Amino acid sequence: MVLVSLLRRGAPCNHYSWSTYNQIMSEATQKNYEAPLPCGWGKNTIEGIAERFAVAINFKCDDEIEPVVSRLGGSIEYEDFPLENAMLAGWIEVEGTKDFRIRLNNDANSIRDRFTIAHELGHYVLHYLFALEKRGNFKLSANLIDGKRQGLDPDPENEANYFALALLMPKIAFTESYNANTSVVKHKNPLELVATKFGVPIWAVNARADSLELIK
Amino acid sequence: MNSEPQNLQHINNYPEFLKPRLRLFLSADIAGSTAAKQKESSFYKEGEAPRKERGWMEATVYFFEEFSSQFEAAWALADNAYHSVSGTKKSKNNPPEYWKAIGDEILFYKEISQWEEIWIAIGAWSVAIKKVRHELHNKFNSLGLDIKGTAWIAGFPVINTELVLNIKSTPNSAEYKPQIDFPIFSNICNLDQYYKSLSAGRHPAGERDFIGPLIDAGFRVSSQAIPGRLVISIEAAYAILANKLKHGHVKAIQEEVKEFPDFKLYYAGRKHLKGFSGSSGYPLFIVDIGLPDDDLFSSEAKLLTKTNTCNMVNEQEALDFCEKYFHDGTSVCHPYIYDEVDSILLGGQMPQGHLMRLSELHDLWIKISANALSSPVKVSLSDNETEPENIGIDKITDLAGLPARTQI
Repeated sequence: MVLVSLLRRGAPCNHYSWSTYNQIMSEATQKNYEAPLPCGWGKNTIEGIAERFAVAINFKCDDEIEPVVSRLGGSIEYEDFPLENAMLAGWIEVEGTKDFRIRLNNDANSIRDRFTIAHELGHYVLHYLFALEKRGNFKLSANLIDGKRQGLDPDPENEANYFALALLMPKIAFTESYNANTSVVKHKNPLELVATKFGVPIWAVNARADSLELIK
Repeated sequence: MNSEPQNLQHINNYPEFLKPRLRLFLSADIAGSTAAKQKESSFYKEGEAPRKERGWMEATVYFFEEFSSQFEAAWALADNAYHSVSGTKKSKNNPPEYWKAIGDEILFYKEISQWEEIWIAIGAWSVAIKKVRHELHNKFNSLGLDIKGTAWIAGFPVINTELVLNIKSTPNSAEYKPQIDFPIFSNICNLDQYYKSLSAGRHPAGERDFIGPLIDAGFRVSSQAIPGRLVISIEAAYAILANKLKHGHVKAIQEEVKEFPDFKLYYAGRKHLKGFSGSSGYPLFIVDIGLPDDDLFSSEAKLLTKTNTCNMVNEQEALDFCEKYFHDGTSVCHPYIYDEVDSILLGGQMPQGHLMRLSELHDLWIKISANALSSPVKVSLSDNETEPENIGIDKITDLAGLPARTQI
């Protein structure tokens, strides 16, 4: 019998199917991955790094983000995540410079994938490339399910999130669009328009507006 | 046949949207409407006098209006008559509900809590087909319209699933809810809200639809429908044959609803339905809805029988065939009603695979509802800082091993 259910999943490419969370952690341990440590930088610095990174990699906010990964020597894989991590969007595993893979959840939509890729690139830049001098050569696994990292302050997840927001919604372009759509255009949900323009989830627009203190 | 009763008490504690449900789907489609529309469109050519007679538009509107009311009335009368004669209580027996219209086709569904509800609803559907068909012939005779009917059943949520569509996001959706980015989980949350609204007597947000392999199969079966007859899936035929359809009950209903069919079943053989049953074909059954006023039908029925293409079935033989078909089939299973205590039907038992899948879905729901599957996206960083030196573009380019940028 073909079981098609509420949890039907498809796997367009690079299909993996994990059975348990332990399997993921076990593999991470066997491969000697280390968790990211916070860079400790604040908003302005991470904003500046994201802007310069975009220039360095020739990325504009309305470009597709997948080619950026290729340009940096990385790859993207889509997987079925285990039930207990069913809403984990993805994570990055870095073997070395120009050698990393971003693992994405098949169940997430493409808008979330875009944010997740930007977030994982944040880990790659902030917690791998800039950490190399301090930590020496190491292998990074920045999955969000490492319980040991929860509650760290500063939190590397916050840092990667901020990097993603700044990369996908550059300050000047975002401010202009946000103000125009929320104050002039009559639309039942102006944030949706901004989200569509920048190719991000609506909550990310809200988070970006909040971080730039645009919400009145 | 597994006669051991299953302990399914734990399922009673599942949220409503996860409880197994068996639904009967009913389709009625106007046959000959495309030809009628095309014929009529020629009357609007330049220089032609507009047609004065009533045309396809009036006929179609008439069909939609009349069919629903005829069916609902026939079902209510038949259901009352059945409970009166059988002495059974009407416990969870909700009336059939309108599903949707697709072109000239109207669709209803009925949640099945007791097996006899299947043949009562199919019988009432036959009544509506028979009556509205008769009226179309009388009122719109020149159009040559007829009605094709189909019935099939499908189980949820393991094999097939429900969707809640067209829920408009509100400005408040800017608030982070992890499931928003995961369509499957978003649908689960929407379904939960949908069922909670129904339970509370509120109009639920969004529109519910049904999808899955047995829904597809039903539409494929409907493509085989024949004007003036009701084609049913093998699961529906099995449910009619296996669940103590007593002809005494049928007679009692016929006293209230005289067009209610005798439930003579015909076997139409295996038909090749695109995407189903491989090369062997899908077995189709036909309910004789009884059209005494129709010489053409009667004459064709005789011909079909004589040419051995559509035979009235011996009920026990047909039941044996259905059992064997379910047993041997790789893509079908016995229909079941999870909380139906009557174990006469083998289908009264839930397959172990379904129980396991349901348990998995329930575990998933527990995690989703506890918001335990994802961390909120936080961006709480300090904004009082001194930017460190040497983090310029060239540094990033160098660290990432990118080609050096050309200075402009």
